[in-house]
Amino acid sequence: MAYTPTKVWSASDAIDAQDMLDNLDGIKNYLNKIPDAALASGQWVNTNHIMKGFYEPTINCATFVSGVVGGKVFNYNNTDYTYATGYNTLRKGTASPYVHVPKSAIDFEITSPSTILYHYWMCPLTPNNDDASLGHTDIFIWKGNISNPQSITRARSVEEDVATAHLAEWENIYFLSGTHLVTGLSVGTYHMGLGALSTTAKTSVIAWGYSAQVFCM
Amino acid sequence: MSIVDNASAIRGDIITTTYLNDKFTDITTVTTSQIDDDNVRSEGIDRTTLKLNGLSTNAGIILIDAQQSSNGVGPGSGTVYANTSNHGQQAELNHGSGTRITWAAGQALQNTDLLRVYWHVYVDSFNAEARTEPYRQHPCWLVWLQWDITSNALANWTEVPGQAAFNTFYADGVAPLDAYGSPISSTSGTMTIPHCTQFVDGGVVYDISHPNSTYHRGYFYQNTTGSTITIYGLRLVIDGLYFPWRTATVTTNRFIHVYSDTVVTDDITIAGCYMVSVIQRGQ
Repeated sequence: MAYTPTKVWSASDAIDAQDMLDNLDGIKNYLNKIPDAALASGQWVNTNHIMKGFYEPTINCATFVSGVVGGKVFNYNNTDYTYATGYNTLRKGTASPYVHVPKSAIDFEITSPSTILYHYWMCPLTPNNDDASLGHTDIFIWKGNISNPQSITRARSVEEDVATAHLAEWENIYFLSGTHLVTGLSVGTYHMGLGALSTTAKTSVIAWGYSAQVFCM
Repeated sequence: MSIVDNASAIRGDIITTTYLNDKFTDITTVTTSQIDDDNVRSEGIDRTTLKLNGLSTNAGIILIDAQQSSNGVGPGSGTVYANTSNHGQQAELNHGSGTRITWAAGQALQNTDLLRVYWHVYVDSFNAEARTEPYRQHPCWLVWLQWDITSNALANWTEVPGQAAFNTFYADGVAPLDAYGSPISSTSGTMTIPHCTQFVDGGVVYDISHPNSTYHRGYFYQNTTGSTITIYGLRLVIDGLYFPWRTATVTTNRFIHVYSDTVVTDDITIAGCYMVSVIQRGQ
């Protein structure tokens, strides 16, 4: 729909400041929200018209008009090393001894309705407790706070069977990975990160990583 | 051209009603379906200036569709899938509801659209039977992706592109005879779950079950080319046991299901499945 001036002067009209102001305000309001019908049909937007994206090296994140993409990797070679066990902590004995995975938390500043595709992985060492039970390690995405786990993946420790001496049974290094989709996010700030839970005493994490792709359009 | 280009008043001009009307009607003319790149400066389009699709990000500009399905009954329970003596007995990974991704009205995949599917499956336990035949070493379960591009009745599931159904008959004349399977070159949507590891210790053959209570992850990717495909559903199916196979005469690497295999006590219990699909513009 084209712009329509509020005032069209006839030959006998006096030129009034208010009429002039009304027409100018009409132009301003029209430009603030140009109707679809005013745009030329057919493709005319070129890449030079689109606001350029920028890359933030500190968080390894690139932001574009269409969304955001980023991620990080942590491993022992870079002196990143952590634990996931609940032993020797106040978490032991609780129903959900969740532990934060360091440097994996992200604040998403959502400025338009968005969808987030999240990939995550971890290499935990989950040696058995040498008791009758076989423990396990879970990793998960938490949203909002660590008590709200989303997508969960799990690795289980395998007992080192000394009696039969089969080294093939000693396999407690397991690569865990998963995907999680968050849809329908409205404008706001969201906190997400990696969490872990282990039922064994000596679970250590030698590498982990994540990537997030935010779709805004 | 859609630029307003009319003369400005200069000192001494008399402002008339006609002059003023011309100024504003020129804008009317330009905004009659003519705003184009002449009116937008470089980097003049940003997220805040775009008319996005309400509360949905499926505006079709980049993201066309995003779906997820989640179904799991938790550790200690689940559905048992057993090794069968016949080929082509794949079963859908199904724990009730929610293990399929469906589009009731169909979702178009146009030329250059990208289909990305990710899934992870929770394996609760295995039952492994000992075996001695060399061609039955390193068995695995195969989980692969199917889609229905026929109708929302979801009665015509087929393998996704680049994926075989592991039911090609091979009569190579070498053991195992009468084997069914497919080349590994046709496994674009396949996830393997190792069933057990076989090794020889001091001349004794051992079959050690693969660790249970673990997740296994797979994915599929397609860059759509050619005619538009309308997709109505995605699902995962499982079959086994399969074995890797290659010999000096059979030089194509394959997964094969031994037809004459009568061992039926091998099974796998799966207690959960999480699947995500994303469709986005390729260009």
